[in-house]
Amino acid sequence: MERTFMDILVLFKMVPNLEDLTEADWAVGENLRPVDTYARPIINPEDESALELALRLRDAFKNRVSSLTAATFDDSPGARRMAKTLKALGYSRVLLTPVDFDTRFCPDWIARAALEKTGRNYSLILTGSRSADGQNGLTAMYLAERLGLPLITEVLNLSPHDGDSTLIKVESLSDDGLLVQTASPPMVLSIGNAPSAILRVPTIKDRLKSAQEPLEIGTPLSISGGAPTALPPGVAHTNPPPGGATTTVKPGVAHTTLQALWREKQSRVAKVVDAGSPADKAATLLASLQDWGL
Amino acid sequence: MNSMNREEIVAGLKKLLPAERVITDEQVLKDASVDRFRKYENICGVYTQPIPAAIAYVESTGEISNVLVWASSGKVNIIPRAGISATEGGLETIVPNSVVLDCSRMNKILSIDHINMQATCQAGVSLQVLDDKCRAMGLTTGHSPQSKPLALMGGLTATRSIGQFSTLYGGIEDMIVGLEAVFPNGEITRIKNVPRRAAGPDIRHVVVGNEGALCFITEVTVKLFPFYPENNIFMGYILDSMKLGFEILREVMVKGYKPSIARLYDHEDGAYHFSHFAGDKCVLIFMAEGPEGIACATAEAIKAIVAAHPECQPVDPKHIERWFAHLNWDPKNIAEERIEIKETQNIGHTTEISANWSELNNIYEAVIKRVRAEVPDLTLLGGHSSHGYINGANIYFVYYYNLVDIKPEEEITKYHLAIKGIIVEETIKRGGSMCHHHGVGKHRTAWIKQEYGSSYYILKTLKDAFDPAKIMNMGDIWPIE
Repeated sequence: MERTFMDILVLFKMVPNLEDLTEADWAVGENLRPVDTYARPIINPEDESALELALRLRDAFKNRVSSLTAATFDDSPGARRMAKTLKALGYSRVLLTPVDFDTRFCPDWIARAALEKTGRNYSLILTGSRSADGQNGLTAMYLAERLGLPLITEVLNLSPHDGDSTLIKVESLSDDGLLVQTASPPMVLSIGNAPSAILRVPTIKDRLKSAQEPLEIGTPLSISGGAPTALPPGVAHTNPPPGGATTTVKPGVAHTTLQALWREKQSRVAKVVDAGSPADKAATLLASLQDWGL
Repeated sequence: MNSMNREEIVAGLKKLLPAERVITDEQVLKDASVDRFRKYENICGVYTQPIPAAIAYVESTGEISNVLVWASSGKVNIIPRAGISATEGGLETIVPNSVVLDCSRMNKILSIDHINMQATCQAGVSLQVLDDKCRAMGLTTGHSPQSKPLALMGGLTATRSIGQFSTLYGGIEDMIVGLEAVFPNGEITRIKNVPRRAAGPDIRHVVVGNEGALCFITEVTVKLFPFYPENNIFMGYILDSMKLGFEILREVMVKGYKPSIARLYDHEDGAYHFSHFAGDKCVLIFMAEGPEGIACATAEAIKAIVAAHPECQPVDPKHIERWFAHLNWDPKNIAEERIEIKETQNIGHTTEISANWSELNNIYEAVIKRVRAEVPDLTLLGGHSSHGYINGANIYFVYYYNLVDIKPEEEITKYHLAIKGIIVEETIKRGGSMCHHHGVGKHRTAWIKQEYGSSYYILKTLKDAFDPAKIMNMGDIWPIE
């Protein structure tokens, strides 16, 4: 069935402009990060590309994009300013949700909370591949996994498909070079280092027109169980013990001391099915699944 | 105008200079036909100005003298060039078959004299290089235009430039002690280095600001000052009103205080730099520097002046310190700007004026009102004041616009000159000057007679006297009539 309209969601983040830091600021502070208090906030570069590519899809698809939504977990002055810019550029909704903890290293939480805040019925969800300050690169993957949607990573450009207006041409960077795929929404797109996607600039008239609209600021969120804190005394990051041995803490024992903590390995794998006809692709995929023991 | 064709011009140059220093590569010549005024055309690979016949790199005063004598006899238009950071079309080769005469290879620092507090260098010396060398000795030129990483001493002198610390150190005209310049008839003149003299008019002012349209500057001597970066004191405030900001700047200057930085940004221009702490407010910035006693006293006095206006809220000085650490433009910024312009089809320019205190805010408000009403596609329109005097200050108007439905060569007329025209008109009619420090170039010549009024006689006579063959950067300052 032809999809008539597209609703697009873009997740973005404001990050400190590290070029503003002086030499002294690069000394590691108490919270194990450089002093970025005085750095101007800028839009995370790959999120900026995502925001611009969404606008280009809107322009290219003309009336078929029924809504453009942007969202971030931040209501700082920089985020508010960006929200006003996006409204002036035609984003119908920009949701700012304040949080009270460091969001750099909890991509699964971000993905879950983003879907709770914005809803799940989007044709396209775009976000930058990684943030300049966190660089975990996982948010888009968790989003796709939670929604059960296909994900294309390191996207460089998006455009309508020439022949079929329900499809999108996606150019992305793969290990083998530039990959051009025809994709059918709904899907998640993780935008990489797109070479030509700097966010356009709204006119003063457009800014004044949208300035009167109130900003949409959501209820503040805390990560469940409280914000992640510094490691307690006596505990250090370490590699897992040899052989994968575990340390168990017996309940009711008063003098057991925690020896070590480590994150269990988590991984995902993806394979490009490169074959001729749909039947060939199905056969290749079946063989791969059998190889993986699935 | 000239009596030679391109080939004859190139052949003539090669008789005066080594052939490898006469450049005739087509793309290099195209790029040399414009400066940052036509940056959009350049980015798009469109070249609307006549392509010069050659670029000639000179390495001595004698070579310049020989070339100018030859050019005078053949009526070849000469464009003196140094750091290529010009913004007003001063380097545009509007006369067909011009020769760009480049002094960037005359780059020797001849002396740094800490007894007499003077530094002497050739015109092709980079200001950044000179000042870094002085700072390593505990001295400074005090000159810090935003183009500091790019600009060369000859060009800075020729354009009557001013730096970001001018409120303390003055403009280039206050810093130049003596110089050497070559005139179109080949005459090599040297103005000696003395602290002051009353031996007739100050002839340095014939050379400083001539924009290469009277002579070719080959060597300059500038004053030096002791350098006390450890005593820098930063102050910043946010406020609602430009009018109040101008009044505070005036009070600081009139009471005799000389902070090295005294700036007022409106909310639009300020937002670009300071939105993270200023929101939508105007921003006042001061820096006091110098010997500890002077820096402290200046800072305390300024704080007291501002404190008398409760509408001004102080900001953490560390914000100002971070801004100060990133003042200047370097080649990386220029390269990034080109990419952004190309991708966003959004471009910015500036026009700087000066006026007496009583008219500054009137000019500011009139310009903002008219430009908003008359010019389409604006994305940013604002300004700041950055150079204060006892009797007035400058305003640096900043404007960005989207390029909508135009060819590259139409940008100048549809937007830039339209805006510049409004700024110039509103300034001149209120007794101000249309050029504070960027020079007239080729694009404010339309208003030069209004700028000067009856004193245009003096200006015109200089050109008639020193460049009778009309070969020096024709179309700059003096319109071609």
